[in-house]
Amino acid sequence: MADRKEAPFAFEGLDRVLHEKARLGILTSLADYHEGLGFGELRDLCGLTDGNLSRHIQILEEAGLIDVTKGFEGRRPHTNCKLTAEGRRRFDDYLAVLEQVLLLARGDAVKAPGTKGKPA
Amino acid sequence: MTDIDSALNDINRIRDRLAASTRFEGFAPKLVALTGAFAFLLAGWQGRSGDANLFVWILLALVCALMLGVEAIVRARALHRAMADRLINSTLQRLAPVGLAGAIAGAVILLKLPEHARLLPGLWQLLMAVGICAALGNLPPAMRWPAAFYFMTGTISLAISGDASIDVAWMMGLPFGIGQLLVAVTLYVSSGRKHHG
Repeated sequence: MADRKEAPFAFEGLDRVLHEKARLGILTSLADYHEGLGFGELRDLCGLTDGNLSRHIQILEEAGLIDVTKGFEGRRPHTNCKLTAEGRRRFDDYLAVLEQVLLLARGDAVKAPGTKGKPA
Repeated sequence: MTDIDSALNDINRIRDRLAASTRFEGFAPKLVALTGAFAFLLAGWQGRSGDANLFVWILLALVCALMLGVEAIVRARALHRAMADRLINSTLQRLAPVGLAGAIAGAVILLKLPEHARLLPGLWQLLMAVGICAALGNLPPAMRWPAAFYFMTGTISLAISGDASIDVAWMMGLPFGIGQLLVAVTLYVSSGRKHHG
């Protein structure tokens, strides 16, 4: 079996928890807001149903990527979601690997972890 | 533009936005506190020797900026990983213009208008406050308190600059000594006591 360090297309950094359309939408929406977003705002930005959004939020929370706090805004219940420091780091790492994938696909030589530049 | 170029631009934009809303954890509280201690020491030494040379303060500011900068790069690379360079650039872009303005004001006043040198402590404290405010997006929200402190001391220092009985060394040493300690405590508390420097 080939050594993983010599496998230019292994892309170990493409975290499976993040590598999903709805979850990428959630993380991208949250990327702009250090104080996070409410459940309703996230639902509207990502075009997800309440049930779908809850499921993905739970997965991201269990992975330590986002913080979910439940409280009240006036008399109405309010759920706030925000990226954790680790979530920010892992999302950026993920985007860096995604960038390398695209650069390789374009034919650029890339010096990246797990890659040896443009394959012959 | 190909689809790949467009996707690369999108990724770049998201990474920039992510960095812009991320707290920069590169500044080491202990090192910031040390810069405050240096301010006290220099003021004490100048007060005893009767030396009121403000060029030494520019030199001290350069040494402190270099110390904090090197440490910030090392810490940021360890703590922020792939995001480090963007965060360093973003923070530097916000702080560098203020630092440059302070250096230019200092050099011009000391070389061309030395009779107005007593205005410099207040001016530098106000610029410090502006610098902290400019970088607030990447700093803990509580950093607005050290900024408010520097606004206050800057105003007081300017107001008393005409009083020749007040030692200019302490117009620098006291505000910057306390101010830097305040910044250090704010960074320490805001970092959740996780990454002490």
